[in-house]
Amino acid sequence: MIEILSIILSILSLVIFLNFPLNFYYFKKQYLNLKLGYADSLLLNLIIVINLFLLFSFFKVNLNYLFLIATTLSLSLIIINYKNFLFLLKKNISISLVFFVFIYSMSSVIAKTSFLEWDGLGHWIFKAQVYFQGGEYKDLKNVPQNYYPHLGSYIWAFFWKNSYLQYEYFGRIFFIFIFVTSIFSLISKLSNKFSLTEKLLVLFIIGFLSINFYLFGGYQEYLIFFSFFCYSYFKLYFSENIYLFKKSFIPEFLIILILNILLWTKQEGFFYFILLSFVFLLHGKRNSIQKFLFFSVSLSFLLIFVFIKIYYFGYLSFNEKIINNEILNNLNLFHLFEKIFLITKYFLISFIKYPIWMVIILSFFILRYKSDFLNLNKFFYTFLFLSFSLVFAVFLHTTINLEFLVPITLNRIVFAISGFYIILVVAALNSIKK
Amino acid sequence: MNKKNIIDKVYLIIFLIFIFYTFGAFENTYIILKNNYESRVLKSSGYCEKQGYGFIKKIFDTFKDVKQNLTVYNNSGFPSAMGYFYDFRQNYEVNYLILLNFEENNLAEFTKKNFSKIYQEGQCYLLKKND
Repeated sequence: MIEILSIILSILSLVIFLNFPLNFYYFKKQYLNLKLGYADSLLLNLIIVINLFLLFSFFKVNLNYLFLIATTLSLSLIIINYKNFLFLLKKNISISLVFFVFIYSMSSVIAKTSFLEWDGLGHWIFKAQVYFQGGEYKDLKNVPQNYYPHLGSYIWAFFWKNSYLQYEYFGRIFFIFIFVTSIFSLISKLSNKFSLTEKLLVLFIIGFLSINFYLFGGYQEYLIFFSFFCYSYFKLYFSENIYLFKKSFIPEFLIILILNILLWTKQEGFFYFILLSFVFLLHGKRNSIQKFLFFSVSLSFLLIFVFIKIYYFGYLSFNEKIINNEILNNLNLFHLFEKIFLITKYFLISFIKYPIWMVIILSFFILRYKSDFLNLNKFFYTFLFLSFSLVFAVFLHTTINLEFLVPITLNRIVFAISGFYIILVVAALNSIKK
Repeated sequence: MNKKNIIDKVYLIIFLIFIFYTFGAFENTYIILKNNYESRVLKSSGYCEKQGYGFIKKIFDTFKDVKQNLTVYNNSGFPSAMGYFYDFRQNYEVNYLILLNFEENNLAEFTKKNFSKIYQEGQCYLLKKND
């Protein structure tokens, strides 16, 4: 019974914890014109908190104290506004209950076996152990695959350490939390022509079709999924409210924070960072000063990443050397087409494996022919082209046997990218309901 | 409370039960209540088979001079469960190693490297470097 109560306590403490640093009501008072809902404030807090985690991960910081300070501050802000929060809870009791039951039910799946999958046990948990035991960034030197980014493992360790029973899987509930929060934030994007029951049903279907419990077994894909989701979610919000942010630097600031999460989560995040920076520069509809600032800060973040890697580990390393013999081998057209065929085949298999992609593809067609949504938001096309090109480039460039590599990695990449496009499902539904 | 409100609440309860049922949360809760964390990890990660959680744990519990970080070779196609026990404050153990799911005749490779078997359970072994 204690374990069940601990799971419930962990979920509740996550909700409390993530009312900080931007308290919804304080935030609403200050920035009433920004038209942001409670779910938006949760997403914003997640983005800020994850970046703060990254900052703290380079220093020796007691995770319990950190949790205590943040939770106390968050609780104080909630208590100050308790009447408003109670009103909000009362008004949205159905959504809150479904949200909670969704997270609990998913958490029960990972708690049942407490099983860690390949990469989770192979190397991600070692990094989490370092932080759980009070280590700091330099202590990652001796763990397997030490050159892999560490942000996901730090977060895992943080919530593992700050759970009542301190079982490893409590840290992974955070990944469930960010996934469910992302999906539930879509409720405010659904047209008011949908009843609450319809909205909840849509969220359930989107969530259910996007879940892969295998990836909660210590993988980092849900953090990448979350970052992609936030990027398209807020990019769309900035495009729809362009007049509000004409002279502001908030879009630049927020997009960079989102990209920074990608950069420090997985190796491919380095390339996603570059692609998505390019997408923002191309489609951000910003003036030249804003573009220059965005470019300079993005470049600085990339350089800081490279500098930190070189400072601590002596090198910046990826799984593959950037220049290798396979580039020359690709000049053999038969070899090249054989590889392209294989990659395409597994792309199609991945789309079937993750049924949410079927819904996304259908939404693409609906939006293409029923509304001008995609014409107004061309960044969806650009990222589709760039991200899929990146996947092909990476696999065409690798020296590892593709027959082995593609089946075990491509589906995870395809899953993560779906985070970027899930919002299209909502847009398509809205266009149907018009 | 009007009729519509009652119907809405009934729908909500059915929906919540449906979510519970879809994710198997009733059964999962029962399993969590019935089996403690250690036994669930042992069941999913295996004793000597799969990730060898049980065997590795037994080695650390029984052989107190074996340091927490040691090399484990797992022949089962799974990673080893070492990650559960890793302690970054300790050095890597060079005098011992664990083999999981190895046929006895495959040990020759390690005996050549001056290791000898000091403990065995099924196809899992603790090897020690000869002095």
